Amino acid sequence: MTKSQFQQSAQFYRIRLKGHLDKKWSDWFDDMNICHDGANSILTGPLVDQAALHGVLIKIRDLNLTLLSVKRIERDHSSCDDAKISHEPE
Amino acid sequence: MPSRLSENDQTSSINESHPLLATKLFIPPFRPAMVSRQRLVGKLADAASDKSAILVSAPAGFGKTTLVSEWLAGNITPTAWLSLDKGDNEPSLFINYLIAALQKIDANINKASTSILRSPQPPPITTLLINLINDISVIPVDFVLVLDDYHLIDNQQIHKIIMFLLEHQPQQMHLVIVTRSDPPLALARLRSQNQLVEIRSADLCFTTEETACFVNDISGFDLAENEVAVLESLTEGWIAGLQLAVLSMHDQDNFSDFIKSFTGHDRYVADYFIEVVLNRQPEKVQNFLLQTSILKRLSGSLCDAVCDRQSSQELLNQLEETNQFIFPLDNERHWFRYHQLFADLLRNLLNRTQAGIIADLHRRACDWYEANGFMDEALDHAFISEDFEQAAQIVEKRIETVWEHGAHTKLLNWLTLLPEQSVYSRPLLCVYHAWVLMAKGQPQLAEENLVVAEELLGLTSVEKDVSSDTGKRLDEDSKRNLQGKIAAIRAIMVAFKGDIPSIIQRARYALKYLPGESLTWRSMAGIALGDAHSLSGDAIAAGNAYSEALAASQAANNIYLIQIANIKLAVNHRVRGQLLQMIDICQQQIKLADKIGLSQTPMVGMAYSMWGEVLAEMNDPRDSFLYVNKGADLCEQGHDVTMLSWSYLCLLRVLFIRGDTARASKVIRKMEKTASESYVPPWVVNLIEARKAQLYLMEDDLDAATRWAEQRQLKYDDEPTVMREAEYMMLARVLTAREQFAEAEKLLTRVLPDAKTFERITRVIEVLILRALALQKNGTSNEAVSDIAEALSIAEPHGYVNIFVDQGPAVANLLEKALSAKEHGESQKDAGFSASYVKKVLFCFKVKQPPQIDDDLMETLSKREVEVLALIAAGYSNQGVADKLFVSLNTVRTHTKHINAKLNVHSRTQAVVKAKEMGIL
Repeated sequence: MTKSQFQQSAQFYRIRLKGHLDKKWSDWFDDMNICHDGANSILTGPLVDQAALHGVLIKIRDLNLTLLSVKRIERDHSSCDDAKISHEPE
Repeated sequence: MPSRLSENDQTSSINESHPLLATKLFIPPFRPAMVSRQRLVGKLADAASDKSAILVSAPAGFGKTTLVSEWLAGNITPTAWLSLDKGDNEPSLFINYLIAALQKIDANINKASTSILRSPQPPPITTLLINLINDISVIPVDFVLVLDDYHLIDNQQIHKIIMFLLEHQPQQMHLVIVTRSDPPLALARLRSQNQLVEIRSADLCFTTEETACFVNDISGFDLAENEVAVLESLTEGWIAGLQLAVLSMHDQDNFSDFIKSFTGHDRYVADYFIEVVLNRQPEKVQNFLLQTSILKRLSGSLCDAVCDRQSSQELLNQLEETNQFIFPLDNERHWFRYHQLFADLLRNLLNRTQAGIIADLHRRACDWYEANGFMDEALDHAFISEDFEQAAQIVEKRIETVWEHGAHTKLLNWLTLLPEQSVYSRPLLCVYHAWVLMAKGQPQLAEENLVVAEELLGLTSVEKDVSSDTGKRLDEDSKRNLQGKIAAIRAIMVAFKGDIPSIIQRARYALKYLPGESLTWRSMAGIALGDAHSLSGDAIAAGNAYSEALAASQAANNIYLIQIANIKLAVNHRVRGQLLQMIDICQQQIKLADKIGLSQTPMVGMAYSMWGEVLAEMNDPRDSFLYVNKGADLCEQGHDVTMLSWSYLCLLRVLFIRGDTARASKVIRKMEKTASESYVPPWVVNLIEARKAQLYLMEDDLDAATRWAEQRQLKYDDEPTVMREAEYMMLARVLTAREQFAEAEKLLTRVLPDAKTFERITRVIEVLILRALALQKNGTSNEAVSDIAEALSIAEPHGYVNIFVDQGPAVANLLEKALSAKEHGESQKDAGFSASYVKKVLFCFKVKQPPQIDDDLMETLSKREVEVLALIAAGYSNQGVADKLFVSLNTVRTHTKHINAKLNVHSRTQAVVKAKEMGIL
């Protein structure tokens, strides 16, 4: 898949986890951006399809991280700052 | 260990499909230096004694495997253990491993059914499962079957296999599934039936006491109650977290510093501790741990190669003694693995710190595995490091073997992982790609691959480009071999379309080019050729092709193809009047299946059906009825509608001979239903139609028979094709019954020469008898007697009897005339048959009686006994019947004893047959 194909078909997701996950784990999670919100971690970024999303969820399971929420978002709201300030129920 | 490259290696065993099989079946030892978890062990023991299945479901690091191994260590019940990995997502491989694990309990389990899986066209999995469950149900002892790491399975068919096992779980078997997430099985149903005991993360979490025990008793600290409580809240009962925490504590004097260093931020505990643990190791050990984290399994030699160092074995042993995160995979401590969570953490650290060398590590792992004959493992690493050139080379070496094992999913997966250019520049890969696509029902894509392969081989007139280099690189023998394979695939593809001349042309081409040692391919091409000849009516050529196919599949020891070739050859013998040879083949088929522990399959059913039908022809009514019923029962259990229809056709013949039109009509309705719901080949549909007409004629419903002939658009001046000949025989009968004698005669005369030339002996006899009847009724008696005499002279040496009786009492009259002509020396063809033979046939006309039905018996069988009998008829074992009716095995045995006594039979099968015969079932 070329980069432009990826950009076309990718969807943005925001995944909230309990605890602080070091930002260095980013490439483990398909290069999703990792930031912290209080005691939680937030993974944000594009995933190419549902299979990729499930792959990320399996990695979360395999590290015994606690999954709090998964949400598909508009790419405009994909930065971490948005995630912190927005307190919408997820 | 040498790799297996040759396609016709006869010594194939399950080990070869996974050279590390032993490590998959190894039961992880329970070390006394672990926290004993009696509360949970008790729960497992109770579940096992309740005969419930057990699900241990929790994320990584909760001690699932350790718990099960503790329970097993204190349990004398024999255990079969199977550690799954991602590569096991292939139903045929999975079943192989399952059987290999169960053979540790009973070496006789499915003795050789693993060999039947070793086929490019494996049989339906349910067939094997039914046999497997039958085998398990006779194991005299209770046993435990553990499937560890079940979360790595994502193949729907495998989930179905497990659901089938859960639903038909024999009483002796206690299934334990260990997984990180709940499997997609109908768990709710099992829960509601109280057939499932679950151990989940809340159960597995360390309690305060267990945490204290681990920290103080086992790890040698002496922490106070409140300090233990701090650790407990930090790790929330997560065992892996606690283990990492303890490993990262220097000594307890610094406990408060240690805690301080951690508190105040919410870091993911494992991530934090792994760094501390690693930093405490000497640099050499740190590098070893990081670099070997890319390996699924570790051995001294492999680690030496990957880390470019020596004496890794000592380090592995040392790690096992001191570290909690490495486990032996065999008693010799040859293979180890890391705890998966530990490996994940290390691999992430490796990514961060030494990303540049990762591809090299994989390359070295790939080289080591390839040099040591572990091809699948080598491929895994080649794909990860994106070394596609090496990957493609390994796939080329492996593809034949993997194909022979029927591992289509795996094969397709490899071909998908390779870049298109790698596949489309290698003719061998294109050819196997075509096979898999054909098997998946994508003939067009398959054809595209074949065309590419031909271009690469320089077989087409395409302008010379890169591809011709490939053609030159291959030696002539390899080229011819591939040409043969391409033709074989095309032959099988056109066979779906029924284009007979094309099948024959391509199959012949395939057989010409395929080398003698390509046994499996030759066998398949031979069967395709035989089928084409059969459909075109050349029974002699078909017989030759099938015989060669049988010899090739026997030489290849391919059980599946041997059985197919046997069935085809048996049908061919039937057509050619070689009735005794046919019985011989059916008996061989049954014996072979028995030997490999697969006696309950449609393949065996076919043998019984055909044997029974031919016995009926030879007038052995007793056994014939038993066999056709048994055959139909076995075929009903399978999914092959062609075999099922064929077994019904055999059953029908016997029902007709017995004059049981009521049941015959039921069977015909069943056949029509099957043909309307699934694809049944047209030539089989035609045979069903012919039997329908025969039934009308037997019931003297000439109007219905006439309408049938009109609907089927059968006309006396048609040129009958072999595929519709049976229908035209019925048309001839209808015409005779309607006194259109000349038309009947013309039609029959047209069929005769072809049938004679190509040795369709049964048809020749039938045509002669039918023509004799038409001639007789038309007043040309001498010619009629001459035809009957010819029919007798052909039929006698083969042992036919009922072919005469089938055509009704008018034939008896003709036979008597022929006999009298012979005795008075009037017959021209008197040398052809014996008087005693005619008398024997005539005798059969007299003794033909309707089946006896004993109405009293129906009442003497109790309602419960009828229920038991119905379940037996549906294929359940005694244990299965017991489970279904919620009674003990002994009760079922008592029932069957009574049933046998009341029906005056000696076996379950006979009881079912008799009950069906009497209309009880």
